[in-house]
Amino acid sequence: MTKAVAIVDTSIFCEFLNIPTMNNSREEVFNKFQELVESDTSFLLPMAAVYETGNHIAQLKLSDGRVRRSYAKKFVKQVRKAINGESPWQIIQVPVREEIGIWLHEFPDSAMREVGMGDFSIIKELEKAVKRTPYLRVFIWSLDKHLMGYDHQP
Amino acid sequence: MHPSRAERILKRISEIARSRSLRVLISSHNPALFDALPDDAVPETVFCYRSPQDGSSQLIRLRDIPDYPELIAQGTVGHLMTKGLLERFVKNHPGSEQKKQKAMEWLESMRKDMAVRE
Repeated sequence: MTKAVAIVDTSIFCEFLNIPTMNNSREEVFNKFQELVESDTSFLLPMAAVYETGNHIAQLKLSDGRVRRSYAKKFVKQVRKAINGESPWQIIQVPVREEIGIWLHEFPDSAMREVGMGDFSIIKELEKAVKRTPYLRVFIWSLDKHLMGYDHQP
Repeated sequence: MHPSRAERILKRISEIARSRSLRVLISSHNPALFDALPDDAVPETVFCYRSPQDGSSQLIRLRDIPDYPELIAQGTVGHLMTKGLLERFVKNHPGSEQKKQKAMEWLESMRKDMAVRE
């Protein structure tokens, strides 16, 4: 039975995909992953992490365009796997209009804390997961200082 | 019940139940009614299904379904039921040890597969 829920952030997804300049902590991330799997953690991947990772790939400064394509293909393969339930994380359903309305209402305050829309939406996904599983630990798994520390204890 | 009325009816029933300290049991196949469930009621909702082994009726609280966090992340309860996901998660869970093993195999494939040469 699940004991904790990890919301996977872009910084973590990029480490797994080995995206240049965003792959400096791979061993640390892999070891943490192993530890989390062994302690019965469920992993959820927000769509914001998918979009942001895709953006990083499209903006890669590489001399050879074929390399960028190769990263893009690996990315597509992993996102497909996640959708089909073939990887350890599950993609979170995209938000509905009403939710986005609430997010937009709160976004100006978030911007004042220098938290962009992508990170903000990941925080909102954490809040949603807490509502759905208040009896579990729910946290954002990230290497980004804006997102580290979001950790709900039951 | 018309789907558009589900939320209002559920809200009204729960208000009455609260004010009179009643426990109300609602049994339904209506996806609109499930979609209208308040967040805190979702994990406590009981799913009834037929046992694949002996055909008997089985009851399980949603929060007791293996991998419930992954299940509920995919949509509302009504959506999960309509798409058969609820049933699939309840009946076809591989078991937590097998799940862990698959995760470790996946990690190994990421270690090997993700080295892109420039």
